[in-house]
Amino acid sequence: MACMNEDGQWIVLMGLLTALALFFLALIINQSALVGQTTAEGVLEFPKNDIRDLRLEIFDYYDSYEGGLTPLEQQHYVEDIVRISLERKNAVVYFWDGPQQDVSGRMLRPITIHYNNGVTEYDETVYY
Amino acid sequence: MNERAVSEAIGFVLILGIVISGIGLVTLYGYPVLIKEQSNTDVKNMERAMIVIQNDMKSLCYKNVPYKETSLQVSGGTLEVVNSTSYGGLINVSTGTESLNYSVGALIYRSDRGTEVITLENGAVMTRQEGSTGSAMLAEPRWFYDAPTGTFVIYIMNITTDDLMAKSGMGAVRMSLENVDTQVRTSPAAVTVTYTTDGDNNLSVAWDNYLTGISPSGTFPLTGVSKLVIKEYRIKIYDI
Repeated sequence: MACMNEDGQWIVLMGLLTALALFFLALIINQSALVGQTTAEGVLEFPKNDIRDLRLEIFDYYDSYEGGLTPLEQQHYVEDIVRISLERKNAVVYFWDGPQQDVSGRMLRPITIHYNNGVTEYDETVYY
Repeated sequence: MNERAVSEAIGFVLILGIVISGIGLVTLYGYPVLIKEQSNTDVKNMERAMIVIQNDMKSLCYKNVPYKETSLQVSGGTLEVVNSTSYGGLINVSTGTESLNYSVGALIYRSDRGTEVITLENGAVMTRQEGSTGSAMLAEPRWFYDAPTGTFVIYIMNITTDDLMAKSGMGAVRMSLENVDTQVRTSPAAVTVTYTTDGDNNLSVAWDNYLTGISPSGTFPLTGVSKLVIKEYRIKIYDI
């Protein structure tokens, strides 16, 4: 070996380094696939649109409430929203309102919304 | 260099001896470790595959998706579908005045080389070791108790299939939602959920731990429930 030309040894060394680098890259890619999957699941599980639809329905209800529904109609309206949420969206929903208050010069009603689908529990009080 | 007492033949025999002992050691100790590692990887992959199928079932049940298909590779064991009518796993919901029984089917993976058994039953993925009584839940079903409204929601996923099916190797799980049945009971006296285990697939420890975990008081019967909702989904598996 001593009298051989050893100029090409760095090629072998670089080959080894590249192999090691590829190994670590593969490890990182493997991990990132897992992270991507769990993040995607988290986003899919979060019922953003369901909550937005529910808020819209509740605001619609309070608009018609002002428009003069009888107490029985009001009760039916609330029961319908609760039933449909449970049947279609598998969510336990409950909402109620308080007396109108003066908020920065406007008369607004505090509406408390409760939403729970077993994964996400959402509560808010909105002045509408 | 002085090369007296240096024999090429002895050198060759020594090197060959070292190589052969090396191969022998690897075969003796390394190979079983490799096989065990392979078997562990197969089981881990199957755990993930089961959670993927569980997510598909969730899409069928909670997101109004009518049909789902997932391809999966079953390696190092067998995946089996058991119809709800021939499976012993049973969930009983008692309200004080009435008692409702729900039989659930299951997807069961049994490892060939190890003792692991992974079961997908009623929306929960559970693992246990063959021959021992313990079991654990890897992914829980979506049952919940909503404290502000006092609503207890129980989801039953009933797996049905026309024929007995078992699979090893590449396959696709094809399933659809057959029908949904919702039962609502207002002001039940006390809700008691009891799990009866299948004789060949004992998962009672996992279910008992889960049931005491979702109850706010940690015990059953659960009192103070103002509304009990039981939704039963019938999932049909066409093929695996």
